[in-house]
Amino acid sequence: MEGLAGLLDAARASTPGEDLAGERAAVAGFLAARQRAVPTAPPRRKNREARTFAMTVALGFAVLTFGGTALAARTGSLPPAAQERAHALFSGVGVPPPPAPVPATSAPPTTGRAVPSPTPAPSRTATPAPSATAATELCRVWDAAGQDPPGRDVPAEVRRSLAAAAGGVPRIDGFCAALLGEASRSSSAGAPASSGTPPGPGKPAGKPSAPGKPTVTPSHPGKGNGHTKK
Amino acid sequence: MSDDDDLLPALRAAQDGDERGFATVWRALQPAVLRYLRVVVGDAAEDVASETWLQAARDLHRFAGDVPAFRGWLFRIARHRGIDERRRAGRRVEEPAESAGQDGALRARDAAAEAIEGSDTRWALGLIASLPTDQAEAVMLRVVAGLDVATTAKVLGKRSGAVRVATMRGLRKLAAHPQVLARNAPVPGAAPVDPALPEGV
Repeated sequence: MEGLAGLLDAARASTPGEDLAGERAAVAGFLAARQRAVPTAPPRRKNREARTFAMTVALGFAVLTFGGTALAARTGSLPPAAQERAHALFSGVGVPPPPAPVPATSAPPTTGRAVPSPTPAPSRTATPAPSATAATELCRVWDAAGQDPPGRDVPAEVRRSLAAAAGGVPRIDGFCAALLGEASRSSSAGAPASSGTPPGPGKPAGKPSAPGKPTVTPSHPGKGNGHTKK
Repeated sequence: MSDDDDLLPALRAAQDGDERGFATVWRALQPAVLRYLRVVVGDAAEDVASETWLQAARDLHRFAGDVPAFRGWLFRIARHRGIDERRRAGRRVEEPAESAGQDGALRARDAAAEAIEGSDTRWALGLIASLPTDQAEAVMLRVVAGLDVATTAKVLGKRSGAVRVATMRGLRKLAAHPQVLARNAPVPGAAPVDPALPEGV
């Protein structure tokens, strides 16, 4: 057994020079991995938390509007002009146009939440032109988040929605730039454009008949509006 | 092999992102990792060890446990990286076919290792690598890396009984190996036996 003990000792023996040559590389790899995994310094993290909070609020608002509008578009309960624009916007997300130009009030109450009844007080999703507002909100989220690597910190739903609306992730920037520019222009000018428009990224007919902030209607007076800007 | 209790603060520090803690852990365990991988993947051992530590660094925040558990965790990573490497290279047969070929391969490997550095350690690892894979791995993890049977079994994905048998068979085969037997005889020019052991017993 003597030979075996010698063999095992040899297998165990430490030869520091040979074995430990890669320490610096290993530590460098460790640091890199940590940096990627954890957002490091406390001050930055605080910033990031605030940003994340604002983004979450904005996202919640945008998704509500977006989703509601999509539903309204699907059921055909938007005014004709808005309906047309909504389809241009949502067709990419898989919202099919209604089978025929159905009267807005006859929308079937699919979920009950968005379309409570066909009577006077329509839910806020049926107000004119929220589609542009929703997309604008999404774009604000996008703009606020994606500074250096575009879209890096944007929640997946927002990115997906925007990509669908813009026709691909690479086009989101252009889409949003056009939309946000249009939004500020039209809200200052109060342009009432409501004619049928091509569905390009420019969205020239943004906010038909509602230049202000029609989305913030009866249901949630103070909630959404305060957070649209950060 | 460094004491597990001594290593615990370093491990915790590393988990908190401290690079010195990580370096301490690395220094303590890298030799065993590298040797194990030398037996499993041969010359790719350094690269695979690097991959192992990189993955360990990435996943360290998910690890919970003491130093012995960490050892097992680390060697499990090493083993999987080693398997990946072997798959990549397709260079090593699962089990050496027959003892004739085995001896031939062994001699070639031994000669190459000795030509490069003449290292006792290389010789020993080459010999262990000539065992069937399951035995070689069991010997390395149990005897060289110092894992207990249960941890070794976990790393290898086997039952404890299978690990015991594989270790025993591997050791027996090594003890009966001509080169090991030859070591008992004080041949001039042969690699010296561990100086701690009394000569010629």
